[in-house]
Amino acid sequence: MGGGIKTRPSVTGTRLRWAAAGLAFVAELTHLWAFAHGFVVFPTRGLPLLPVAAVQGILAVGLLFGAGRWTIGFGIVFNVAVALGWAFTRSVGVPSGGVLVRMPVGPLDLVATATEVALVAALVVMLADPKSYLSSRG
Amino acid sequence: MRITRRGFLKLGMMAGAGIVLPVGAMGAAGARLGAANSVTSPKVQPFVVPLPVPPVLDPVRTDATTDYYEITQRSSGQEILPGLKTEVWGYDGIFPGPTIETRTGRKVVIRQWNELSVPVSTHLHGGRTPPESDGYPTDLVLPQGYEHGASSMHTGHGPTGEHSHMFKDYAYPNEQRGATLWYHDHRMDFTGPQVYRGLTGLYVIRDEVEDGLPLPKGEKEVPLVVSDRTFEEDGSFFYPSIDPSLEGEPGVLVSQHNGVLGDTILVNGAPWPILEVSNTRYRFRVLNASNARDYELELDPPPPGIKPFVQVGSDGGLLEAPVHHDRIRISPAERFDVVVDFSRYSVGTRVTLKNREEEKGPPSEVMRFEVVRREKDESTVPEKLAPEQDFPDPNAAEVTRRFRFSSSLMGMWSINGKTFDPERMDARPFLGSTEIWEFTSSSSHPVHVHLVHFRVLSRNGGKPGPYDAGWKDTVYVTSGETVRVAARFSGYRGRYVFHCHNLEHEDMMMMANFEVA
Repeated sequence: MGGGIKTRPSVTGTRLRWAAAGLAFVAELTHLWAFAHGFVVFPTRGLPLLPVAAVQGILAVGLLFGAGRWTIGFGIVFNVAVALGWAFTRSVGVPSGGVLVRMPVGPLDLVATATEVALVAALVVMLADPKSYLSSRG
Repeated sequence: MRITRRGFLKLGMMAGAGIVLPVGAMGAAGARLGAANSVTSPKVQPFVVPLPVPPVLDPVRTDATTDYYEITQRSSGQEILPGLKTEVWGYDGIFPGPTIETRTGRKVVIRQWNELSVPVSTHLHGGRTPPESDGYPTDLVLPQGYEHGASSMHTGHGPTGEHSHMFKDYAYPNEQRGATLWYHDHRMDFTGPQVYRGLTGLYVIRDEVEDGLPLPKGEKEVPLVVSDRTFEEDGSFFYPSIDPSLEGEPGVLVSQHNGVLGDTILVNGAPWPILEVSNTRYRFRVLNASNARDYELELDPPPPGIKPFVQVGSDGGLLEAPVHHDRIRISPAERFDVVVDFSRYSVGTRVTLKNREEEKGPPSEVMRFEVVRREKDESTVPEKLAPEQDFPDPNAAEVTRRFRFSSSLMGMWSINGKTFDPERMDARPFLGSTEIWEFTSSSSHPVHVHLVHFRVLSRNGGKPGPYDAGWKDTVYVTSGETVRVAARFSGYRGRYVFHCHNLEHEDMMMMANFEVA
């Protein structure tokens, strides 16, 4: 995944990277929780959350072990897309039977979205100052 | 290729986070569904418990025009299964609640106290009721000190109805024919679980026409409130709510998405009861108070030489003439007023009321009658019951509205592709107007219209079905069917609802508004 930067990350940078990994992992767990909850209500309410959770988990591990530009860029795009998707389904709705059904806002998805927004912010900071944060092993 | 220890650890953690955890979450979801599906009620010996009859409630006071009642909705322990206590939410703490008996034209005011932990709304099903007393789903009676918001989880709307605290007075003018009505909870999003816990009761209106008929009376006029429940091992009701507190997310687990079916059949709150009868005619006011189960009732053995069920009334009161049936198909919320003649059986015969919707298993039987004595019978079923009815004339209808009942991708149920929204008006019939409403359905739905009674005009363009006689307020629309009904929107202006009376469908938004303008 990306890379080419040979500078050793700073201590602050490493901490931010770990924090980003933690946020991604929290996002995974909340999505898994929401999946388990949504799936028992109706499969289509849960299943889309499963790949999101898996990707967040892989991203978390990638960040933990030192990420490159590609990983961070992907993380930003992915989490922005997930947050926008959440906003769309709660404000406009999900196409269903020819109409848009607005999904309810629940505490779990609020936590997940807040985590993703924080994760995007962290990843943007990392991308803006790559020397401090990026790993050569990314 | 050589993999470093760090690389190996990274791959392992990626596999854990990307595969193992999601698979574990799937397992957890599957386990919850599996656990819910595996609940079966404790075994009960059928046809042992005597059929109870709900008590008739006395008014707390009366005046020249009105009877005043007070009912407290509260929880209590009730022995439904022998030897076990079930916590019920009952009107006056009993399930089914006390029966209200009144007469046409006599006003009834019921003060409904809420001593439960959640909001309630009480609907008089079949009542021609002013909108403020109709039990609109968001017209809630909040319990004392209720701190939670009363907004709808489904629609995201805040409170859109009238909220009362601790009690509400419901006024019923009873300006309608004699008929078997019932009252039940109608709280937005949570009608299913609250009715399941016991919030149902009968409401019988009598009139002079009925008084003048030689139908079976007194002890030989018996209400049969048929419902189904599943019980936990300790005797408590099992209802697969997503949130059993009934304060969070509404709805049921996906395995019961099409409606909650119990494995124990109750009649008047007793499991597979037995009623000792004489060899005479009995009049049974049958109400299907189940959340989602429909029944095809049959007598086994059938009485020799005659059709077993003589239907004398429907949802809206007496028929013009009796209709003879081999079986009665009754969907949730429908009422059938039938006479059974036990004189065709010899003393000692045990007659089982079967449910032919189920081929075998506990729900295939409902209750038993045992003919235990001979008696003189002075009752008859005359060939003419009620005067010719002023049914709405479909030719006078200026408007035909079409409503398609279907499911949606996200687990909701919809009417014309729309889920319920208290703030959206879906039809505006004029006061006094006649309209034709056409219901189509992708699966089976008992369709109930508040305020009005209607006449079934046709099924799939043909004649009405054998169970469509008389005035109806609930009509069973089976999969792929189109049912046309004619209704006259008289009585009161205001906002009402119509909906599927499969209560899980109703809670999952298969409901719409109409306003009599």
